[in-house]
Amino acid sequence: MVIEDRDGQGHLNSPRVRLKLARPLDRCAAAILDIILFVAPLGGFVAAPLKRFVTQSYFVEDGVSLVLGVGGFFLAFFVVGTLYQFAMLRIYQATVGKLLFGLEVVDADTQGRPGWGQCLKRSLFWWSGLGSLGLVYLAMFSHRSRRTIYDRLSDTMVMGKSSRFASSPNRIEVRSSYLVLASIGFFWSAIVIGIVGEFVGTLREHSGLHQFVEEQSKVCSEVEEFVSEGENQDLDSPKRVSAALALYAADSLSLDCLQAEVEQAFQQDYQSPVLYLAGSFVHASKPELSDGYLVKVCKLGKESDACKLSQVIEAWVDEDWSKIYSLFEELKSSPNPYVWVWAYEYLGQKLNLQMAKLFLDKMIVFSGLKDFTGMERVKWTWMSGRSPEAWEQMHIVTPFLSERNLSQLRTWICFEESESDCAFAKNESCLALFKFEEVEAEQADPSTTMSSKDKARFELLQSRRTVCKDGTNEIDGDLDESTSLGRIRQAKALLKKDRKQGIAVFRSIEKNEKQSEIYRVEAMSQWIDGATTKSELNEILSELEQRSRDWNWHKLAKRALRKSQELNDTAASAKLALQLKPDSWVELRKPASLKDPESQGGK
Amino acid sequence: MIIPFLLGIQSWKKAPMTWALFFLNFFFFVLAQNGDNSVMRQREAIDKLTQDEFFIRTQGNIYAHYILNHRDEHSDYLETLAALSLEGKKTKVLLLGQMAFRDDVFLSRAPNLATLGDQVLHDWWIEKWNSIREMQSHHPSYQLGLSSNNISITYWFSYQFVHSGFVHFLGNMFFLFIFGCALEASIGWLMLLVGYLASGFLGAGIFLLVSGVGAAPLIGASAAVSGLMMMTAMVYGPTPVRYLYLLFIPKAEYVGFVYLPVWVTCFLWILADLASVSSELSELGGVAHVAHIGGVLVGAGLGAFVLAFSRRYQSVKASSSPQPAFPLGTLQKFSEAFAPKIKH
Repeated sequence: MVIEDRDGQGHLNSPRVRLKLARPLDRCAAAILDIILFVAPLGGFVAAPLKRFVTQSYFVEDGVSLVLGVGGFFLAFFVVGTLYQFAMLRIYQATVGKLLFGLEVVDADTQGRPGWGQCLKRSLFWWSGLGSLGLVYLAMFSHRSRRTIYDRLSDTMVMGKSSRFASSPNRIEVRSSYLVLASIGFFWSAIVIGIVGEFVGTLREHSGLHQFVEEQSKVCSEVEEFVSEGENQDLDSPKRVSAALALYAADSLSLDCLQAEVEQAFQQDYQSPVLYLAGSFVHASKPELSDGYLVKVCKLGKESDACKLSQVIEAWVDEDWSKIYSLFEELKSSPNPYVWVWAYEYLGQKLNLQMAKLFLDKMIVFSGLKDFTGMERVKWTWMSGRSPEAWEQMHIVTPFLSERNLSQLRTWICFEESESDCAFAKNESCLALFKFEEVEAEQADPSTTMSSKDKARFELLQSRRTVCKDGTNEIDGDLDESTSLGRIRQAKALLKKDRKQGIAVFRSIEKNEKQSEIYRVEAMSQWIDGATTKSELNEILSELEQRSRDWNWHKLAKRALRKSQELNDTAASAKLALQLKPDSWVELRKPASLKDPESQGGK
Repeated sequence: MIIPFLLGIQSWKKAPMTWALFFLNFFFFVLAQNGDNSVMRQREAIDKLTQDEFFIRTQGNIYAHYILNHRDEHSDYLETLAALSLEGKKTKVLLLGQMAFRDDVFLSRAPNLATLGDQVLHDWWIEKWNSIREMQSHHPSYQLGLSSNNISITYWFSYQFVHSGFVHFLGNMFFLFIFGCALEASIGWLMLLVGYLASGFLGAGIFLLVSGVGAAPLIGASAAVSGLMMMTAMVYGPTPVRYLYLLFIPKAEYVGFVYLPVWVTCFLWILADLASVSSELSELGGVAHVAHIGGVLVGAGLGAFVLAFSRRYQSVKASSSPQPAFPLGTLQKFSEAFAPKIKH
């Protein structure tokens, strides 16, 4: 159809021009062909070396080169695309895409060949189509003579040469194009909002990451702080790792920080047994690798403390407790703090409190373990059955402990005190702990300040507090099987409905060595409390037999003793009472709460 | 999207050699994919290990030390990257770990590398790397592909029939049919076979000459198909042939055939390969673009040979080549300037 131009532009109205306007979709198709066949391949070819440059700059974090490279990359496309358009328009009045669709670019005034300036303007402004992601092309559907912004800026028009041409857009087409424009505008706005939202989210994440890194560096700085103190300044890498290992053993250093220290030492090509010992902890999640490190420790120094400690680890796996004890005897005079910490923790757990104290006393000279030593002194005194003295010590160390360590100490004492009755929740440590955690919960997730062991203790404490608050032993809360506490609750509930099944769940928790020891002990405790017959108690005692005689065993045995008295099982009572006598090497002084829980008033 | 279609996919009777080559490729493809369950298991095992972050990280650290101890053998940016890795930048270490897979010299020296620092980790890495090598020795891509382990002449042929996956296979076979059928109709089955094998064979030679032998195997029919494409361009000359176009406009008239010379495809293909060669880092490149270019060069030589010596081609060309037509418009001006020899 041939139409007359009546778009209100003088030069097109007079003289009256008969126009064969190009079909908009043909123009779009021509643009697509131009991009596929020429602009993208030629631009890509010219910009290719810059892509390599950009990649390299990105890899080596050269910001200036990266910006220049990216700028150059887009500039190359721009120049190639513009030159292609310009040359084709000037010579053929059409690009290849337009030639294929029988379209021609003409001067809007004369309908003749456009001049140099018009071709250049059109070629430069053609990028507005791509730049606006196609929005500019909508003018072809709404403008009276179907001219886009770059048509008008260059004062050109696109004509159909063959029988494929279009009329001016009708009212429906114009309104539809406005509708499409509005929809696209809305769509892009949503995308922009999304991008901005994501950007803000990323910023927040970065700020969180920054905070995390700061926290991590604070933790890692513990080794640095230790090294910066007076005589430690000239420490070589193995000694740094030795200090880091002690801090790690005392739960004052994260595994990542220990790994960083080890890697740094290895990068300086140090070879020392302690580095490989630390390596075995760093790679503990890969047993084949961890074992390789332990083997290497003794190859490098058979008489070294690290080698002996590696033998302790192996004996631990084999449950050869007498060997462990004799190895720690040999390590009594060790000057290495990491040996002291592990020896203390092991011996304390095994209730060899006298020997544990020996190692604990050594730690006083190691400034990096101030907090740990303070806390452990309180625990040691408490485990020795001198709880009033422990409370006094706790008041003394409290101002010096970090919030994390204070929280850990309170959790430990509150947890130990909550074993027997419901009065624990009114105790000083528990009140302080719950108050502290409530304040923390308002500010941030309190679990972030706790170690996994303390988290488990705290979860059980909250559970016990809920039961005590209700004044019943009824199970409340969810019975989520996927959590340890959920499974214990489920087993407890099952005991009332299907006793066999309940016992099976308790037993499965106890047998699962991957399960946290704290939950295993809790499962056994609940099972003991729920026992109703002598035969069931005997079943429990046979399970207890398989446990090593440590602090937890003593707690469970004491509980079982109470139950046997409750069930009038004199045989079991006698057996347990005999077993609860101190071993030859275990200097057990029973904690006050174990002696007579009722008379302690919660202490 | 615009892709060459020429005569399309011809029947077995009209293009027997094209089909024979397809079946040969298909046979090896099926053999590699489903022929033996252990092959699949090994592939999974290799993938699992080569994607294990800890393994890659360890390899990256060892490679960083290696680069800094062999500075004269590596580029400046790799040295900078190695230095950044040893400063503890995890992303750089992982990047280097991936790059190490392509450094054949490093990998061949790996078992005898002087241990630096962590000896246990170093021994663990060597053990894992040896297990990868062991698994790779049973993998079809490594058994038939051209690599530092398989450099003999046999592999210059065998690599042409092995593909890394379905998409790789499908892409190559589509273009084998398009150019193979058109070429077989023009120059006969024997020259097609010679063209396929010679392009692949010499394409591999040029690849080895330019890029050197690598630990990652060179596989796929793309060098051979590139040669066939160039031969088609030479044989058909400026004669427009059918291209399928799809312009993403939901209207029937924007999907169909357009007639353009095969040179257009060659031009775009070579441009893309050259661009890739100059843009990709050799340490990260996954496609052997130099082999494509090698195939194209061989195809050009063979095409010239056919044009010069085959009389039969002239008669075949006249009878089988499609007539140029421009259903959507006209290329008259363009044709006058660039393709004066077009005979309508």
